[in-house]
Amino acid sequence: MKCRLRYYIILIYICIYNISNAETVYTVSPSKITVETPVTITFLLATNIKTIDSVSFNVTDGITISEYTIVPQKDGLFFTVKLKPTQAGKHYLKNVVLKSGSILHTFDIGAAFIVEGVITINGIWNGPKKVYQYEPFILELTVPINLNENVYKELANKINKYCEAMYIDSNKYLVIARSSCMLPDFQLKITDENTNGAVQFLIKTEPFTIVTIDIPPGTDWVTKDNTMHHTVHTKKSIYSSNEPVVFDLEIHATGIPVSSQTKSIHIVGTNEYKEHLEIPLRTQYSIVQNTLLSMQEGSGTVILTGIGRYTIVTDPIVVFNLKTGKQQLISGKEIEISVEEDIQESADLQNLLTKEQRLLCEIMNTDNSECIKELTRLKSEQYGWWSRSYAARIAFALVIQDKAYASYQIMEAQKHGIPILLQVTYPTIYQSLFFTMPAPQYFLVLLCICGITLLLVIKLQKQRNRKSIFLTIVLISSISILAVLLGLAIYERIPHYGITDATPVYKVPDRTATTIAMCSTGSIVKILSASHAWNYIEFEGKQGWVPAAALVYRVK
Amino acid sequence: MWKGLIYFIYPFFCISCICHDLTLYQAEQAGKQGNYQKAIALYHSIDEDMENPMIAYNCAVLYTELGEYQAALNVYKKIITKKNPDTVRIASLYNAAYILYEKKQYSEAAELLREALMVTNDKDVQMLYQCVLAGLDPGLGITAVTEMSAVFGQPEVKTDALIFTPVPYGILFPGTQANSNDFLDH
Repeated sequence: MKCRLRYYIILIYICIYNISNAETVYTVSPSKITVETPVTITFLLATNIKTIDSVSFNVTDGITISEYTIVPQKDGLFFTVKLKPTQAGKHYLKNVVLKSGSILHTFDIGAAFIVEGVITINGIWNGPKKVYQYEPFILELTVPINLNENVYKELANKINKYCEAMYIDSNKYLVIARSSCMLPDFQLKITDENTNGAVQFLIKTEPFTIVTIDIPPGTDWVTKDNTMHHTVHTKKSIYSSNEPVVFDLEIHATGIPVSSQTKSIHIVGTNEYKEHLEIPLRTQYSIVQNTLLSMQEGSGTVILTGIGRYTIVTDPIVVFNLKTGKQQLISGKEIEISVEEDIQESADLQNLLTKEQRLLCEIMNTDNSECIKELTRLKSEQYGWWSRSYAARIAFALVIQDKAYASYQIMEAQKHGIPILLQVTYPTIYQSLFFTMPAPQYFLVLLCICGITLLLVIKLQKQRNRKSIFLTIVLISSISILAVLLGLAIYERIPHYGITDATPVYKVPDRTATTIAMCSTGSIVKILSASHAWNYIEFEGKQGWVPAAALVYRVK
Repeated sequence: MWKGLIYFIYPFFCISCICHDLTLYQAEQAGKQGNYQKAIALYHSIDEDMENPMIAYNCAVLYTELGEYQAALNVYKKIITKKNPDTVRIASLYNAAYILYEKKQYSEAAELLREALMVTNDKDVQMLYQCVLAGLDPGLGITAVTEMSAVFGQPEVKTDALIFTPVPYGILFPGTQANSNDFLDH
């Protein structure tokens, strides 16, 4: 055990002795070295070895030792080594191993020199030969050395001229080909920063052919699998009328959108409202675990004025599934929203309006003095004889500047708010507004018929037999029917009024027709004929047509 | 019980039919008297959606009488796209083509007239087609233009204000045309 320990101590001593005596001072000539230029390295090896059996030099690849000489000196061995570089780059004469008897003496030299020139590196592409159009695939570049990331990115730019390519990491690219193409042999020259530009690398890649299989026409998306999310959503499900409805469209899948930069949205209401919108889409890409994820986003705004339920639905997406190799239709999820009456026009408010003035002012939370002033003016100047509730409603509408509602309440007040005594006292004003009596001839004919019938009844009453009673009943019934007809005739001639929003009055019931007048908000028009979509009206002495939706209030 | 129900419903049915016919008659009279707006309103009160081809056609003609050519064109196109009797389709095609011709939209007019000529050999339709072709290519249909001038008057006399002269297809009131039996069915 002791012997073995001594042996190890001696060995360590020898090593330390040899290393500590290593001479690292060397000269390299010439100063500018190119390939095939002979290089001479000289160094003095401080050693006391007397006999040398063999010498070996440890050098980097691309260098061959052509000859060497060893001249014994007083303080060691002087080496002159001639080398011949066969390849550009940074080269080393690492160490010299001298064999003296059975002992190997290793002396580190570390003589470094740079051989100027260009190093050619061949790159090989690895990837599928046949893919579908727009199918994302991984293309790998195999090179014998480690390349900088910038080099790979520069290569990606070169590939992009032929197909879509994104550098992922390491030596991989995510490639999408629209059609069959061939990547030619790229050549890229880069300088080696370690050699201060003395050495350059020429990266040469082999040509690579991508053959694509056509996907069916009309495809919107090409996806890796069937995990596609296609949604449209709104922030709320209930909106009030005239409130902007903002909806967001989102489509994402593991794949790529092929064509559509816009998406059609259809809004269908229960009130026969239909609208079609084209939403511009923004596309974002992300790569997760060598897989391409694409996301299309867009948003739109629509103002739904009509009360009702609306369905928002997008056009289906035609997807080509790479897994199955088949085209499929993916429908978007429908969403439903409801538009309710605006609080300002709701029944709640109308109920509130019927309450006292003071309460009104408090609810309005506005300047009370303004409201009271308006009410006082209205009551004293114009509408003194109307009931308090109508005056309050009119004042309220005027204060909140809802002209349409104010006009409506004025009309209602004129029709229903005037006491019967006033109606009788001022029949001309009242009747001219709300009743038009049938022509006098109509009354004359009716009076004649009634008169004759009554005479007959009286005559038959005197006879007092069964037949006469029957005739009397018939005659009384006839008079009743005539009275009903008279009532109907008067009712038919009751003009209906409407209060409009700001709308044009068209010459004929068509939106492309000539506009003959413009109704402002709160304009009172006489409805001559009404139907679901269009109303035939009289406004400022002109007769024309307005859309039924433009009449916000009706007075019947 | 069913008998009683029928007796009960029957008078209402009769009254409804009478009211319908009365309104049609009123509309016809209003149109004849030149009260076009009233006639349109009456037609609208009967058939707002213009499902009845006769009412739709008459409304379109009334629109043209009021100078609303685009509105008339819209109605004609609605009639054309639906499956309607040949007579009303030909008349609509002719009138729509005439409006387009006067608007110098020759290719669209030619398309409509070609559709009309597939079902009729009417001389007026053929003449208008020749005029439209002449409009498309001045080298065509010169003879027909002369013939057309003889019927309608000098072309240069026409101004935009007088573009529509619905000859021979005027308002098709029920019973006023010899070949209007199809409309009576409606």
